[in-house]
Amino acid sequence: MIQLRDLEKSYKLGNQRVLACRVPELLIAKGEHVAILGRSGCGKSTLLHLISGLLLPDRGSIKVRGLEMTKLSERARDRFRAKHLGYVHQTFNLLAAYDALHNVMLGAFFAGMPHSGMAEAKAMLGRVGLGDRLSHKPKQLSVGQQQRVAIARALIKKPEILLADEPLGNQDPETGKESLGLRLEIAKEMGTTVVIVTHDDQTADLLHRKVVLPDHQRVSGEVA
Amino acid sequence: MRLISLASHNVRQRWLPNALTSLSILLGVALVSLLWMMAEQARERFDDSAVGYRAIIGPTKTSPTDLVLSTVFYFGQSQGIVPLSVYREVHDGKIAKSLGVRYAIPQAFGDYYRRFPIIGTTDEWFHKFGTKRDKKGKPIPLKMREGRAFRFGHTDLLKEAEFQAKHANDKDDGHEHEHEIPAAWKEVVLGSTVARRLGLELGSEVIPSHSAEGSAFEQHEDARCKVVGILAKTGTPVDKAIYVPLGLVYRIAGHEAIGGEERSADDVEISAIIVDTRHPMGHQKLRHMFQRRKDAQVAIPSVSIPKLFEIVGDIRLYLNVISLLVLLVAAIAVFVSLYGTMFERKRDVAIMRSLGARRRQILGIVLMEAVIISGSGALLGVFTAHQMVWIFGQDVEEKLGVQFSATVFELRELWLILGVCALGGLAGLLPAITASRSDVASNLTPS
Repeated sequence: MIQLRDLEKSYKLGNQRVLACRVPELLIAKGEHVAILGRSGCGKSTLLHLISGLLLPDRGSIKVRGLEMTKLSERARDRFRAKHLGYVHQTFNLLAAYDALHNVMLGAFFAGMPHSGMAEAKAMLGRVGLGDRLSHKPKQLSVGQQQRVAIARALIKKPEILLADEPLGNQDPETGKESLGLRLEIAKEMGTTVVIVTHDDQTADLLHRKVVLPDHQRVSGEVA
Repeated sequence: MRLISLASHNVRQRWLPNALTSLSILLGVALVSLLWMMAEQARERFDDSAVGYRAIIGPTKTSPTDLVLSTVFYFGQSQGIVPLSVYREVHDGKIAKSLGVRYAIPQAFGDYYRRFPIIGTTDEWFHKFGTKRDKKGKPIPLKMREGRAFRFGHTDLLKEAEFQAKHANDKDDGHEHEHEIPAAWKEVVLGSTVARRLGLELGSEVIPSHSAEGSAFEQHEDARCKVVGILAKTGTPVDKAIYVPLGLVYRIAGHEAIGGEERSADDVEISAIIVDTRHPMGHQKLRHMFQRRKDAQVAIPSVSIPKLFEIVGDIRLYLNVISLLVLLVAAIAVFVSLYGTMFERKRDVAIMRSLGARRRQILGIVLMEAVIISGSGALLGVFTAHQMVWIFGQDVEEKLGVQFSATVFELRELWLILGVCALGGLAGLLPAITASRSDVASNLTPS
């Protein structure tokens, strides 16, 4: 499902270039639930951005569903993200102006689901236990509830791949594990491939496989 | 959910700055729309008002434009007089026969009742004059809403002229006689606006006064009249006048029917004569006939009114330029309003992009926001202009006598709305491009 080879991504920082992510090789099978572990700054979040097509690598290959992401146009990558990929960010990234229902519907809308998936959004919010919070805005929800809205938004389009960044990041371990369990359960039902980035070993234990990214961060050279 | 609903959601989210931007557009568009409406309708109404006045014979002391303004619109005071001999020539003399005069109606101005002008005339005003014409070009006579016309015709006028001439000669010889006003002449017919505004009805009393202010000192108590008729609404200055028998005007104490040294019936004075001819070019021939005469001149309203609007046209141009500047400022307001929010919106845009939104969709959302803000302002602006005409139209009608319609929408108002939307869209283009090109990955993390 996901094939990464000789992947490298670096950033410009002042007049220097900093290596943000390096993955020699990573293969993730369809339906597999994989935890990406590594120390802070080792490029875990960057890796998710690369898989999702939000970033392009400096070199290397990213094949997702057999598509070479580095060769896709920006528009095609947008389409890919909209149709096949669910993404739960570390800070959930809900739109403050929209209520829970409309935040979830946004995921369906950009995926091109009919009627913007209103019925599906309601059902999905019900599934994550927020059926009575449809018209609540993010500020009116607890951190755990916000994360469940983000999960519902990512899963409404029944994505083939679910990416999640630090699922326990902003909440207590119990709530975090509960919501992680929920998303894994739904993903399993859908046959969705899950890639979760975490620094927590216990979280990683809940998944099929652990992949540890090396701590490679270093200055890779001067910018011309 | 559609792009438009996302855009309108964003507009509502920042409702205060957006509402203020819309308000600035509203004011600009209302100003433009109001100017257009007033200019267009004023032109039409002025033209409509003059339909029954093919030609006006008036004194030579005044300009043709002033003659038209005082006779058709009752603006200002008539300067000078026309002798009755001219009226006789045009009514049933040589000129009448050669030009096929349909009507020649004498009028005398100068008195008022509670700011509304009193016009002395004959009953031909009610039976022959019209503010509209039929398909053959023949005037459709005025209609009475209530009551009847007064009874003072052409023959009565000629008899009264003889009487006035005799009276003037007797006065010169030192034999002054009291001359009472016949009861049958103490009758008035009201224009519809006068009746409505002053709350007058059949049987009400009207006391002519020498000035518009109408102080008790200036009132002609001897000419206390009864309302015998109220005209149907015409939407022209006819509605804002009071019509009395011309004989009454001569008999009012203090009025002199003959002012000069000559003392014959032909020298009895009138203010103007309204003429209509069967021949389509009769009014032009009439003007030609009077070109070298010293006792009267002919004004053609269809010539004078466009000249009047040529003068006003320059002012309109300046006002249009000001209006366009106001709209330009409004477009800048749209730009500032949207561009100012781009920094705080970068994260929202990044979130949408991470969900699969294409650059073009983001561009579309921001452009739609610009169009919603400017379009709502434009729509409300046009609506406000019509509301203003509705609110103040009656006042204008009572002052100018021309009726403005708040319900007539012009096609160019639609173009104005579309134009402002396009201007708003143009102003939103740079913020939209900025939003669509913002970096996704770096903006996904809260700053």
